[in-house]
Parts: sequence; structure tokens; C-alpha cells
Amino acid sequence: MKVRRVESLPVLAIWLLALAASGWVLLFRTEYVFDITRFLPPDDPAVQILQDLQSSQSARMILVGIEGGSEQRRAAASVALGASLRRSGLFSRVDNGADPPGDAQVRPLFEHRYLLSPTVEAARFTEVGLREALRNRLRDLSSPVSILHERLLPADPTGEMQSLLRLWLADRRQPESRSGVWFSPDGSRAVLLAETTAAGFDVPAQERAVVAIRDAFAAERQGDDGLRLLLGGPGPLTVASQERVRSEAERLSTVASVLIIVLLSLAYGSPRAVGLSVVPLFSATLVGAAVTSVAFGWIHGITLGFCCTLLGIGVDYPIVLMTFARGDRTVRERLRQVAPMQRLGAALTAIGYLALLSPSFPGLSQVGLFSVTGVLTALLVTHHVLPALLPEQWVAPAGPRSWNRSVSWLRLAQRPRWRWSRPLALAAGAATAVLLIIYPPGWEDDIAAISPVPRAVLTADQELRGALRAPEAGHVIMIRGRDEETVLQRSEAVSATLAPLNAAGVLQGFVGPSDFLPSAATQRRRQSALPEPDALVKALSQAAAGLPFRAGLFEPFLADVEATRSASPVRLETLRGTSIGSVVNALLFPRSEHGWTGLVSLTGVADPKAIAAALEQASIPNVQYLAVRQETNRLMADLRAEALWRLAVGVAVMVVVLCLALGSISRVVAVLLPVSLALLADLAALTALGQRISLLHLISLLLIAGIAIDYAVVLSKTGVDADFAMRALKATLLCCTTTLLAFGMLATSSLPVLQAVGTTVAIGVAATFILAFLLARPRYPAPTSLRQHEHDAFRQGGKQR
Amino acid sequence: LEVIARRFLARTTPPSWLLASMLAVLPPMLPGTASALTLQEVMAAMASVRTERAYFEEEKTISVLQEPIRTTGVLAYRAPAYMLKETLTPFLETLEVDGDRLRIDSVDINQRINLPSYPLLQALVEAVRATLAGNLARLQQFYAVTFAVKEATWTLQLEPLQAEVREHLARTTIHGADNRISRVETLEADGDRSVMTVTVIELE
Repeated sequence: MKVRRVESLPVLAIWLLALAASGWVLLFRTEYVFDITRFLPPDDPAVQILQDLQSSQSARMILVGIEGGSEQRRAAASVALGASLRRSGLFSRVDNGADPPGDAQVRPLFEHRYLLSPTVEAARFTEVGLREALRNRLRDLSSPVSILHERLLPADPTGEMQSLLRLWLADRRQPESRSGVWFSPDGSRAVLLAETTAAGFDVPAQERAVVAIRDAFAAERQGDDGLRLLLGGPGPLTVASQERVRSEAERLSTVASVLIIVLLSLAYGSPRAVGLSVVPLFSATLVGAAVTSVAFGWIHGITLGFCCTLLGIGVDYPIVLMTFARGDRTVRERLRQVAPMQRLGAALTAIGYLALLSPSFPGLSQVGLFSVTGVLTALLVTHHVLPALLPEQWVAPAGPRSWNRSVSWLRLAQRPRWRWSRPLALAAGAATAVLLIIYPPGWEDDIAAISPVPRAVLTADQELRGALRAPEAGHVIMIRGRDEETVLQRSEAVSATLAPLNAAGVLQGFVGPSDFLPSAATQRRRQSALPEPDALVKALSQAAAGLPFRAGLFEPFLADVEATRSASPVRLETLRGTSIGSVVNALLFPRSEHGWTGLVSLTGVADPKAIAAALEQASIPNVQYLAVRQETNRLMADLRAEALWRLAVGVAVMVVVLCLALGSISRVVAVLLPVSLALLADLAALTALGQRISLLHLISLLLIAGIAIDYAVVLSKTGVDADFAMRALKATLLCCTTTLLAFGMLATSSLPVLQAVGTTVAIGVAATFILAFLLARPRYPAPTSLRQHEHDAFRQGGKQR
Repeated sequence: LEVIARRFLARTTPPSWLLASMLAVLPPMLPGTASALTLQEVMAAMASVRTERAYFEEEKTISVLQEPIRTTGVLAYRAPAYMLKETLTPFLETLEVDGDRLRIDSVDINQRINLPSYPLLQALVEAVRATLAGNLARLQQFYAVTFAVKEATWTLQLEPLQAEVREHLARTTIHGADNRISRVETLEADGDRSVMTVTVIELE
């Protein structure tokens, strides 16, 4: 016995080392990613546009809403919060409408009006043009909106500032005001906009910013004033999903663990056995996550969610072993009996998940790698570490009698399988298949369905976006170029292409970077349209003849035009730090490796095809028109198709391997029949429940296939005695119950990821157990003598009580 | 960027037009009570008017121009919060206020404005609208109100309370008789002024 312990030392050492290394990797060397785009294929255009949107300046925007309490309290809280955030140094800009930007913010527009205004052209500065302009100014002065024009008149008789303001006001980018600060249109929320100094993808920094906002808000509260804080924007969404995944995973796994431990304690009546049962699962999770992290350099939150799926199998291996090893034989003896079946099951499951490894789809690959590693680790730990942890002669305790009695109906296992069960099941399966063809399951193509962002947070984000009039990506045209000027010139070409479509009502509006910041080429063209000083003086005096303007009124105009003639063009850099610059920057930004990106956002698109065709015809290089929603839906459908295809390949390989390994047609039928019917039943149940099938459901079905094969292999084993059949059934039932508990918990989750997995697996595993019990067992049970023996034992047990 | 607009709005002179536009005419009061008319009585009389229509003539004196500008048009009011000013000469322009919404339409301008976002515009609107509605409390939210009576006519002198508004608007004076406004005078902080004369056509 001593010798045996020494022999097992290396195994234990390797195991402990692997756990320690995994823990170290996960604690110190892993980047945890919650950004949905990282889960998806990086080369897909839809993913690129999502990432572009994230790397734009708008990704640094935090949208803040304050609701509840009275309007005055909301406004006061907004002012106080704004002041406190500006002091924090974490934000480059905090706007709540209380302090309109200083002159410095607006000056660039006025200063560069002859370069920026779209209406600057030579004809405007001739006698005829100026006369018309002056008449218009006269009319402006007598109109109700004279307020807009009087101060500007001396420097801007041609009304370039009006043109610019009209451009900037066109889609009303500013929120409405009440009590001096910005409010949502219905007045229920005071809203603020904060721009972090840190990048949008710097999650820890975004988390600090979110915490700073929450703390500042809490500090401004006055007793129970009923105010509530809402946050939106990419940073807070990431932080919220991170917090949600963390807390939800913690809560659910805690509850599920407690339930499983209680169940196992009831079944085993031995703390040691219970403790040992969770060792493989624990090891599998740790090693699987660590291997994935090392292979990718990061691990996705969604992948981590699949940790839970390992529960399904990780706990099964030791349960089967313990159940078999109970009462009369040692663990090592039983292991010889059980191990080959488990190896087969694990190999098949691993094959299924290996099929998910895809060079172009990191998310699916992570899930695949994590699961393969996890399953194999659980198996190795069960077969090699558990025996090493136990005394050589250890026999699992028989378990409390109450448990044994309560499952005494398992003696059904000794009855022959009902001869009609298979034909009937086949018929039922065929009927279900027909029903599924007539009422096919709905596919879930909404990317939000797999996003870990809580729905309430997403809704708040959208509402704040509406209140703050922050642009939302619906239809966009993405322009790429090697530098700012190239992108701006292409943007001008795009705008020129869109203008007639806009006029024709194909779309209701569009805004691109060049609409606010013309290319240097255009600005130079405008410069050359400005007349020489003498010519301008002459034209102006002729134009003003007979009009009531005071003499010398337009001196500032003459000076500004002359100054503009030799000015250098306005660049993005010129506008930096102004609110105008921020608006342009949201549409025009550098992108590492790819040069610069420009975004033209379209609103009210009625005919996407006409737009695509017009752009095609204009043949502007590096321009891509995307309906973001359709594009992401297309992406989700593509990914689902790829996952389906990979699952099909995986299942096919599984079947082949199964046939080779079992070497008997009847055994193969006994295994495959319940497995395929269970999958069919699961799919039908999900459809009946009105669930829309997503990628996550499909991956969960793969998990069910693995579990079902394990059950069917154990239950269909031929040439065994009644004792074996009983133990197999007991073990399977226990496995099934633990899986049901764990995934039943997940099904209650509010996270779509966990909910989808939980529902699919819980339904699937129940169907699997029932079908495997009815269909997988051999037609003729074990020899009568043994059955009788077992029967007597039970009877005696009953009498002793 | 309404901010920009607001910035420029804030810098410019207050529009007398608004005041004028809001001047509604008051329903006739019973004769014989001419002696001691109080502010409360005037307000009550104003409040009894449901709708009215009027002509206006406005003269603006602006520093940048050598001579004043004259405009004419029609006004309409519907209690408690709707006002319309239609300029007919020398050009066409429509200005409409309904609750917090202000709409301006002319040849090349179509603007929709949320009044609370523009304190100056809001103050100018309320000078006339709160007077027409006979809502003294509302009027006093924006102005220090001085009331004077001379025989059958009365005068409301309104001095803005908010610093932001005072920067541009020195005062508004509203002249009236019975339950109708007859003249609105606006003096801007920079000396520009406007006088709008109102002739009631119809009043209910």
C-alpha cells in the first residue's frame, strides 16, 4: 500500500503543478475580454465596422442620465455632478448644457468661415452677388430672427455663418434644455455627456470612470431625494456586462454547487466521496480556461460562460466511478470496468468540440478548445488523480438506505426492454421531424441575443442616446484612406453622390466628415474664389448704393476676406479641443495600420439598393456601404451556418468513431437511436417554447450529444450482470440529476448566453436520460439467478427496517 | 450645435417682434369703472379673452442702419399658450409659439426651437404671452413688473430678472386699454429699439 502511494506521487505532483500554473495564468496573465466583436471573426466587414465604431472618438463617450425626484433636483444634481466630474481629471470633456462652450469653442467656425462654408463661391463676391446678399441681410434685420444676424452683419454680409449654422443645426445635435441644463425631450431625465481621457477599449480605465461617476453622484445625493443614475455608452456597457457576467456566474454557480453537493451527499452519504466528485470538474475548469488563455492571449466572457457547460460532463465521470465502486469492489477494480466506456465517451465529445476549432472564428475556437481541454482534463483527473488520492483498498460507502430505497424503482433496469419501445420511438421521432419541417425553428440573428450586456442597460443606453442625440449606427458608409486628406476627398465624392438621392427621397439625410470639414483641396478652391481687396471694395460699394447701411460698416468683412486669402487650410488638428472638433472627430479618425477612417451616417434610408448602386457607379475607391443591422444579422446567420456545418462534420466523425469502437451494429443502433432522438426532442421542445435558435443553442446541442452518448454507451453495455445494469442506471440517474440542477439554474439567468445554454441542456439531458433508459438497454437483461439475488437483497433491506 | 446658435443668439439684440407679436387685444371691460383700475383687475380682464386677431405695424431702429425698418402683418392669440405673428410686408414670414415650441418659417429659414433652451427668447415670449393670458405669477417669474394707470389706459413696465436676459434686453413696456394691448415698446441693452402698434380686428 505504501508502495502504491509512492508510485502515485508523480501523478499528484503533475496535477498540482498544472493547477498552480493554471491559477497563475488566470490570475496574472489573462486578459478577460467582454467586447462582443472579439468573439466574432475579425476579417468580416461587419465586425470591422463594429470595431471601427468602437475605436472612434464616440467610444470614449459616457452618456449619463439622472431620473426621479423633481425637475429642480435633477437639474441641480446635473450641475453638481458636472462640476465634480470636471474636477476629477478623468474626463476631457463634460457637457450638461449648463455652461455653453466659450468663444474658443465656436471661434474656429467663425474664423474660418470662408474656408468652411459650403456657399463660398466667386459669384457671391461680385456686385450682383453682394447686392442680393445685402438685401437679404436687410430682410434678416427686420425679421423675428434678427437676433441671429445683427451682431454678425459687419463681418459677414454674405451670410456664411448662417450657412454654417444651418449645416450644424441641420440635425439638431444638441439636446433640449430645461432649468438651464440638458434634459430628455419628455423632461424625465437630466442628461450629461462625459468624454473619458482614456481610450474606449481600455476597460480598467473605463471602469474607473464609471466608478467615479457613481461616487460623484452618490456624494451629491441629498438624503432620499429619489434620484437614480443611468449610464450608457460603450464603456459603461462593457463594465455592466462584466459586472453582470461576474455576479450572475457567481450566484448561479454557488446555488448550483450547493444543490449538487446536497444531492451527492444524499446519494453517497460520504463527505469524502462528495469532495472527490468535484475535483475533476474544478481541475477541468481551471486547466481549460488557462490553456485557452495561453493559446489566444485572452479569454472571452462568453467562453467563460461555457465553463458551466463542463459541469455537465466534469461531474459525470467521478459520479459513474463512485457509483460503481460502491459496496463491494475497490475504486481501482471498478475503474478497469468503467474507464473504457468513459474514454470512448470523452473521445467522442472531444471530437465534437474539435470540429469547432476554426482559424477565422475566435469565439467558436475558444469554446472548442476550452471544452476539449476541459473534458480531457476531467477524464484524466478522474482516472489517475482520484485513485491516487484514495487508499488502495478504499471502497465507496454504500450510501444511506433511504436513498437506496427511494431509487428502488431502478430495479426496472432488470426488466426486459419493452419490445415495441424502439419502433414506437422511431415513429414518434419521425413525426417530430415532420412537425419540425412544417413548423421550422426560428433562427436568432440579432447580435444582441448573444451579447452579455443586460437588456435593461441596453435599453437605458438607447434612451440616453436618443435624449443626447448621439448618433446611432444604422446605415453607414465607411471610407478608408491613407491620410486625413484622402478620406475627406472621398467623403466629398460620397456626399456628392448622395445629394441627389437625398433630394429624391431615397434617404432623409446624411452626414459625413467633409460636410463639416472640407478637404484641403476644396478649401483652396474656395480661397481662390475670393476676390482681390480692391475688386471687393469696388463691388461692395456698388452693391450697397441706395441701401440704408451705414458707411464703413463692412470693414471687418473686407479684412477677414483678405486674411482668408492667404490662410492655410483648416485640418482636424486646427479644431482639436473644440466641440466642433469633437463632432468631426466622431466621423473622422485615425486607425492604426489602416490609415484613416471616415464614417458617413445615413438616416431614413428607404432604398438601400439604390444607394449601393449609386456608390457602385461613382466608383470611389475604398468606400463601403453597410446597413449595420442587416450586416450584423447577416454575420450572425453566416456564423450559425458555419457552426452548423462544423457540428455536422463533428457528428459525422463521432458516428464513424463510435461504429469502429463498438464494433457491433446492434450496439451502435442502441447508442445512436436515443442520442439522435434526444437531440430531435430537444430542438422540438425549444421550438415549442418559442425560443429562437442561436449559435449558443447549437453549441449546447453538441454538449447534449456528448452527454447522451455517455449515457447510452453505459446503459447499452451487453453481457453484463444485473448488478452492473443497476449501477449503470443509478449512476446515469445521478449524473442526469446533477446536470439538470446545474443547467436548470442557468436557465433562470437573465443573461441570454446562460439562459440559452441552460434551457437547451436542461431539456436535452432529461430527454436523453428517458430515451436512453427506454431505448439503449439490451433487449434481454441479465441472468435470472443474479436478478433473484439482487431482488432478495432489496427485500432484506426492506425487512431490516 | 444649438449651442453655437445660442451663443450667437445670446450676443445679439432682443427681438422686439416677439413682444409685439404677442400683443393681443383685450376684451372690452364694462364702462364706468374707470376710476381705480388695479393690476389685478387688468390681469383678470386679460385672462377672460379666449382668442383674438389683430394687425400690427412695427418700426425698428437699429444702429447699423441709417433709417428705421417698418414691417406690417397680422397677429393671432389663443388662450392660454398659442401665438402667431405673420409678417406680410415687406416680406413674408411666419412665427408661431405653442407651449414650449417656437417655429419660424420664411423664404430660407425653417427653425423649430425649444423655448426653455433659449432663456432670452423665452423671456421675450412670456412678456407678451403671460400678459395676454393675464398670468401675473408667470410674468413675475421673468420680470419685475411696474404698473401704471392714466385715465382709461394702463402701462406694464417689465424689467428682466435674469442676468442673462438683462445683458441684452433693457426693458419692455406694454401699453393697453381695457382688455387689449395697444402698443409694445422694446428697448435693447445696446440702444436698439422697436415699437409695435397693435390694432385689434376680432376678440372673443
